[in-house]
Amino acid sequence: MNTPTPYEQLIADKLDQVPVPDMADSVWASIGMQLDMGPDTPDQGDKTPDGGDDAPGKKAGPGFKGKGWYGFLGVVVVVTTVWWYYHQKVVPAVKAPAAVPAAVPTADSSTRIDNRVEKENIPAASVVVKKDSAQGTIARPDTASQLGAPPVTLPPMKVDSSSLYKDWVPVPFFDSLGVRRPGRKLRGVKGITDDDYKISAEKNHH
Amino acid sequence: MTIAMRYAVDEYEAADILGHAFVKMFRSIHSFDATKGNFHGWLKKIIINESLDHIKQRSRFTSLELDTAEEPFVNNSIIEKTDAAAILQLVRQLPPATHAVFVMFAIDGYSHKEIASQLNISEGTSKWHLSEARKTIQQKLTAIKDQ
Repeated sequence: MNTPTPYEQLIADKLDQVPVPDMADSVWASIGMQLDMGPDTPDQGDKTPDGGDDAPGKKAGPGFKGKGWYGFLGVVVVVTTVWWYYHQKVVPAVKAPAAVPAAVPTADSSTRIDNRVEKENIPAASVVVKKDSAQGTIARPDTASQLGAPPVTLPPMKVDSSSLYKDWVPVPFFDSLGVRRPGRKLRGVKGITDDDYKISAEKNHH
Repeated sequence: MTIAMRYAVDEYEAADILGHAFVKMFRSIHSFDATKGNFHGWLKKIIINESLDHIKQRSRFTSLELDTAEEPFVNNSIIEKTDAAAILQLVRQLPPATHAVFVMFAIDGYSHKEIASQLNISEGTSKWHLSEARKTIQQKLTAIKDQ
């Protein structure tokens, strides 16, 4: 049982005489393909002839790949964090100038329309908001403005929208008795009044 | 290729075993130590290990204990007259585990202890497989003689 029998020796000799099929090309093609696939093929987990697991690609390959992957993830996380941090800091600084015009109070709807038109025609950086005359500087003769003090700037006022129409002409009101309307011709003869045309009935003695 | 042919069920599996064994040899060439043995023996061991891996993938080794067994008688003249390809086909007809144990013991010269270590089985199981292989081969050779 523990030693080969004579007929087993004969079988071994016979098996050494078995003709080998001509498959060298396909075998070498398979070897080349497996070598081109890289060191991380499943076959790398097999034991070496010495019985150990010291195949070169088995432990070193996946270990290096895993560390490299973690390193790549770490770099991505750091870059993303830095980008997010600076992006969060820059955004308010960029938006701050744009918020200034929006903070100016508008008097009424017509003023808002004018501002919008100006914004469309003129670049945003040079926009000058026109103010109504009522909102401007008012110098009062009896105040400190005559003494060289800075003019007093009044807060925005609510202006009547009717005052903004340019073509509006005030209609004067005339008293019919005391004031003559301009542009009208005088009737009758100069120096004669209506009292001179008093009609009276005279007695006819005929 | 001859070594792989003994363990494989056909020439295609033998070519597959040989390819994998050569890839393993190329990748672990740096671990070859000439003081422990020659290159041919080292490569032979790689091919046998690869063959056993293939056999393990397609079969399971059950635990069957056998201490002693009666050795069947086989007439040597029958084997001498039989073609080598027919002998190989006869060996391939054995069950996979029995096939592996028989080739390792009878042809490649492994001991039962080494076979048990390689296949992760007990020595008794290895002996049982060898006994089964001898019985089967003796029956088939007898059948060939009767033809």
